[in-house]
Amino acid sequence: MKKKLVLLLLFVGFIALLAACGNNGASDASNEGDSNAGEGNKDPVTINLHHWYNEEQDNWHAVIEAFEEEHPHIKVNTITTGNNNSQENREQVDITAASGGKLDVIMLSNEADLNQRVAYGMFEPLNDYIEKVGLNMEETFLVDQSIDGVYYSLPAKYSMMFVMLNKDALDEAGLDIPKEWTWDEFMEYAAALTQGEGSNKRYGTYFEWWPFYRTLALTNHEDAGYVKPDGKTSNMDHPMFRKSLEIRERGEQEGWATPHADVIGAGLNYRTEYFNQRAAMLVTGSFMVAEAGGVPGSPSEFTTAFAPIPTSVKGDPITSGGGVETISIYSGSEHKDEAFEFIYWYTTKGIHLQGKYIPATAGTDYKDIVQRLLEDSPAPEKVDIDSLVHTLEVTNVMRPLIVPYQPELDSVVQNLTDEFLLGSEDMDTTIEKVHQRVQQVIDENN
Amino acid sequence: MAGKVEIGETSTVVKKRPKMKDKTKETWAGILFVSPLIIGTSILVIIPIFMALIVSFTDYVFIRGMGEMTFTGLKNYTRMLTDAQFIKSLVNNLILLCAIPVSMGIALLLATIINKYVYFKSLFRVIYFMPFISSIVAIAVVFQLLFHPSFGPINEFLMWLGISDPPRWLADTRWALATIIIIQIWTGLGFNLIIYLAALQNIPKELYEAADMDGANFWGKFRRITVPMITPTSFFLFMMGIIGSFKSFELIVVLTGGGPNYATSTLVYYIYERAFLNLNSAYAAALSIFLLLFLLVLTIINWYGQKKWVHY
Amino acid sequence: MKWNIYKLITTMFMIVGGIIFLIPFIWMLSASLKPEAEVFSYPIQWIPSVFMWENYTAVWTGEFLLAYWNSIKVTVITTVIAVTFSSMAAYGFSKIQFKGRDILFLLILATFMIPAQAILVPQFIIYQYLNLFDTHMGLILLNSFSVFGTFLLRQFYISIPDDYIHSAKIDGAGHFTIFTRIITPMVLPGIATYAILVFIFTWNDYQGPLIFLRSDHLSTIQIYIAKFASESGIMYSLTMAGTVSAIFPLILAFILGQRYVIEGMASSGVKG
Repeated sequence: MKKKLVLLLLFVGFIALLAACGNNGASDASNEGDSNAGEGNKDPVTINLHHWYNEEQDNWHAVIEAFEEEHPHIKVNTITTGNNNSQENREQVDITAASGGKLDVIMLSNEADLNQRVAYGMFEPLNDYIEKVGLNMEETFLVDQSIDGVYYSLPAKYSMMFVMLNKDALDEAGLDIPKEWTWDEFMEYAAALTQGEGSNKRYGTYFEWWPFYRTLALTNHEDAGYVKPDGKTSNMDHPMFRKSLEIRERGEQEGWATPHADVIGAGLNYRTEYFNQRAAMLVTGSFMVAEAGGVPGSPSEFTTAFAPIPTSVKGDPITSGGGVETISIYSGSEHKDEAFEFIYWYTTKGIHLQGKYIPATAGTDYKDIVQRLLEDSPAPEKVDIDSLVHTLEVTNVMRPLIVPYQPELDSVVQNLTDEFLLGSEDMDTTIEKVHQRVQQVIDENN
Repeated sequence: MAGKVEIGETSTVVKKRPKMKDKTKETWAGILFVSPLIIGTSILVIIPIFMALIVSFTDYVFIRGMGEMTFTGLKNYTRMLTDAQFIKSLVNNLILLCAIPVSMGIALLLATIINKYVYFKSLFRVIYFMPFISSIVAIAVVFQLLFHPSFGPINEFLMWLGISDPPRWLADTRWALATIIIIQIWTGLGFNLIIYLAALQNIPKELYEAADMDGANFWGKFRRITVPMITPTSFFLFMMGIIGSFKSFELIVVLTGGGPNYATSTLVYYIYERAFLNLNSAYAAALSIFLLLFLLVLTIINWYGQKKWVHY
Repeated sequence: MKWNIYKLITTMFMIVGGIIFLIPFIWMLSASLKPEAEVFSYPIQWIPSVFMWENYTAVWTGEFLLAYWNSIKVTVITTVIAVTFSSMAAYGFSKIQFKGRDILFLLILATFMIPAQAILVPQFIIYQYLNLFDTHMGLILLNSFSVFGTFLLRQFYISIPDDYIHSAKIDGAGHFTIFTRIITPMVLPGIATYAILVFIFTWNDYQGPLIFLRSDHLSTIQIYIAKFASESGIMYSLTMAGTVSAIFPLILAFILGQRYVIEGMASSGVKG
């Protein structure tokens, strides 16, 4: 009897679920069918905006509201993975493009992703639109993202590479906050900041597994891509690539950098290593600014100061590859004019209003933006604002050649240098192998 | 094979009825029973496979759509022959197969023990099943800490034993794959275990009672009754294990990302990299079709080999 | 009841072994109650320095319940459909004689061998075409046709002697009656096991909803949990609080399902 009752309940529950599901399906369909082409000019046009940020955390609702108020003829429909994972957003966008789905405005996290897709005609050239509104690209933005003179994007959020330093550790070791420095000085600092032994050891610095950390010394060189500016030859015989590997080799041998084997073998994470004071310095990007005082629930226990990315030669200009995020228009969009209105407004006004990202516009008030970035910080007093603002101000954007097959080259550099960093291959062989393999990939793609 | 025996039996029993009509009826019943699965699979999988097959002969890039592709013949297939990373991944996959029989063996042993030889059975069922529902991130973190090259308990133990230069496990091109195998054995246990537990219920109790009367011990009963009686399930787990092993992806992504230096790259990881990172959709499709055919051959060999060891 | 010394010793060993199997789960529990900075501290700190119950309150707000409900809905319906279709097909492939049966089965099995990543794009195109994109129905159908389940259940059906079918046929029963009334109850352990597995697969599926859903209000729990991330990466304490919160239906499904495995055992006359 009891069993029958349970079965009956299960059955009823199932039917209810089915019904609920059916309803949802129906309402979705009606929601989707509201594209209103040719319905007279009273109804606003809806454009889809694809990104990966969390709308609540990052003030997106306010941004969209402000835009829609200023532009009543446009409605923005945000589609976000919401998890800060730009790769997953990119996959969603790519797959939607493959099926001819409705795409309008697309954000990407870096120029490599942009170039890769421009090569397949995914994005609308913007030169005509830019001319029409009289937008002066050079004066407005810090960076030029054009490809062979054609703009396919406007620069959105600006990320530069810099160094975070544990100021308490600096004081202890009697070191100043560097205003500008070289990689050799960086290494001296790292050695001086190393302390202790065994599992309690605090290393001078921590290098994440990313390919970027295998080409550190290349960052402030004009010809610093994997490929030489001619677009046809491998650049991995560049002396600064050797220099980069030397930095890493010394870090391993002199014991001032967390061993690479621990980094990849134990799956360490740069935030944890730095904030738990197992590494005193961190070469990282401005995406860390908001967290420099810790995250909610875990306020930082020490003060963080900032220094610009080191240069390879004293007095060289301070430039960072970093990345400026891109915001583009899908080439198959039905509402390109409206889409451009949005990206123009967002990159020049919206992003300032939002106050959650460092804009790529020229003349940004860094002090103001830093203070706004730290609004949610549990310990803003643990962030040395002066050195941070100084760092943001003196660092210039460097734009090495980026090829459409950049991810493939990243993978080559990462994998082949792994052997070197783990000590199972010597430097000359590694450089030779990387150089050859990069050339091979270039040839395959040309 | 079991099928043949069944056919023989069926024909002796149903002799009384007109044969033609009965056979058609059976066929219709069969089609009716399998059709929901066949229709669904056709739409969701078979058509996509044919689409993948077609694009594997082209230079298709998926973000560009189907309109702009040109046929390139067998180029994507010949490319595999000289693709070192593909060959490396394939070899890695073949080595990873080692994990399957080990995991199955341990699971069957555990299942037998839990089924009969312990107190608090229901509790053990849940406990030994937990890895299967634990987050893969948690599993990865725990194993990465166990295998920590410098301070992990495993290496500390090895050093205590006097091994001065223990392997660096996941960060060691020679040991990374072996480490993955160990982790895969462990993660496969929960899954194999729950299926074996279910299958054990189908073994008639009389067999064990008869063995008890003959004075058989644990091992005797395990070898003579449990193992042979459970072969249909073992066959299933073995086949699915092979396919699953070739498709292993998530664990690799969180543990090593295929590194160091492709030491743990698997075919599906490589296919993913080609398709979604490098946008070589056509080549990724060719690799997938190759994988499909390769697994199909393995499966057919197994299928016809099963009569040697599977008892239905 | 008498305590058996061998059984006691085995139980001891299994408890020790069991702890090893529980470690990842214990880690999840512990991480879910830690401040973020402590999650990866080394050596592992099993007991958090402060218990951050706030992690759970932070998770259990906003749309979490909606995502939970969405997941329950999708998972339960998928499980029911998948079990129905797979057991039908398994019966067809094992207990009905028809021409080309085994070849057809191998063909279906072959569809399981293509990596999901390879057919994602064509599937997506088909979904757009059938208007299944961004609907729960689409997500449900995605996991409803299981070759895996069919194969698993086939192995269970096949071990039931054909005599049962023959005698039922002589009594005038058709395949539908034999399937629902006679054979399926005999493989209940298999059915329950498969139901547990499909429930877990669907509940934990991340790729499916990530690719085939876009609307926030349709979001499943795994997608929701992944949102606990900041600009510079995943917030593991919150993610784990979410994951632990999301694990209860799985344990419940497992315990409920296991009851049928044991009941099935009773019906087939085998004693544990």
